[in-house]
Amino acid sequence: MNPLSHEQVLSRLRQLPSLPAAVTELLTSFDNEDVDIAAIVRLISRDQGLAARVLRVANSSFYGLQSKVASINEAVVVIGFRAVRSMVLAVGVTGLFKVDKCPGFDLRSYLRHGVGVALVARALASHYGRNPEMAFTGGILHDLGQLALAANFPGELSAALAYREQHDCPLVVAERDLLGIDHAAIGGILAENWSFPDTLRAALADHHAPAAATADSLADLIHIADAVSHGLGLAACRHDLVMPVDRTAWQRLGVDAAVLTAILPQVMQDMEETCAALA
Amino acid sequence: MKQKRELPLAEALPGLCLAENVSDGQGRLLVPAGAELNESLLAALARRSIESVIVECEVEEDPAEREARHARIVAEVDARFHLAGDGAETLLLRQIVLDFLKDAT
Repeated sequence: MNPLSHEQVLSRLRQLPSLPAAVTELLTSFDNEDVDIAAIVRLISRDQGLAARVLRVANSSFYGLQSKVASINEAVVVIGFRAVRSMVLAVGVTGLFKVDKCPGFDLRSYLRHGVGVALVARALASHYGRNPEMAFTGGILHDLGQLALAANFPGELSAALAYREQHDCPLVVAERDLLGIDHAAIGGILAENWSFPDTLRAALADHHAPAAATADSLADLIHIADAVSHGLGLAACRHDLVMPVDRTAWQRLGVDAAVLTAILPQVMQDMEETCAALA
Repeated sequence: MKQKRELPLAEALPGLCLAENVSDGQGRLLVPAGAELNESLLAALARRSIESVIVECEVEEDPAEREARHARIVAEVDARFHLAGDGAETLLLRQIVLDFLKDAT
């Protein structure tokens, strides 16, 4: 298998549809104190496919609403802007990729792992003074490069999945050995193309090498959450493998055993319902 | 060890903790998991025609069974950590996960 050149990847990813306007607007809203919620609600509502998916999640048993919400506006009133934002970012970005042509790629495990990392990252964020909703979004999207590979280079990813099997190695190593590029780098390219905020871009690009990112990015948090989620086996597949935990990330975040232990019960309790809602 | 048990509403006593959410026929959440049952809550559930609830209860685990359960958990965790190396942070994480899973039901 020939390695993928940077140009090859770039040119293919440039052909991806642009992000829904509502998603772009929501991404910038994290750093914006006075968000025009009404304008964002209008943007989501105008995108019928996106609005329908968001309403399906809002009306799932996860939120246990007394009565069904019928509009985005109502959803924002009932479950709050922040929850709707996380939801739109999760379904709006993931939904852009068609991954059914990549033998060996297990979408269910991919989604479960994203939810697991999101829940752990959100819980840790509240303890370590980070934005919990941004951390949740970072968790959902951190392996987006895998989805992009499955959709745009299905043969290549399929070969990497087989290589992982053969060599008993993490997928990221199989990708580097075989393709010369890994899903973190591809996630970084995507995040740049789509002008993700820099903290979020680092969650995609640097979660396997967080020391290379700045301490204020999400890379440390997502790296640790990735390890915790794999350790707990939340993806429920046999490739739920922990990679060596990066000391710099651990120390910069100030992770301690008491906090880690304290967050686990809530993560386990939220896991299945969040998967049912989002996946 | 804590275990989940489904009880007919008539046998659910105040003081027990719900192990799972109680929802009505339309899937609307009535009482969340973790809530402690009391007289008024039980009466409210009866009014809503809830027939049974899933509660947590302490059960004495057979030592041999516990041993087997722990061995299974250790094997699963070891498999998930087999490429993770032996860095201090990694080993601490492994221990935290292991202790948590052994305690969890």
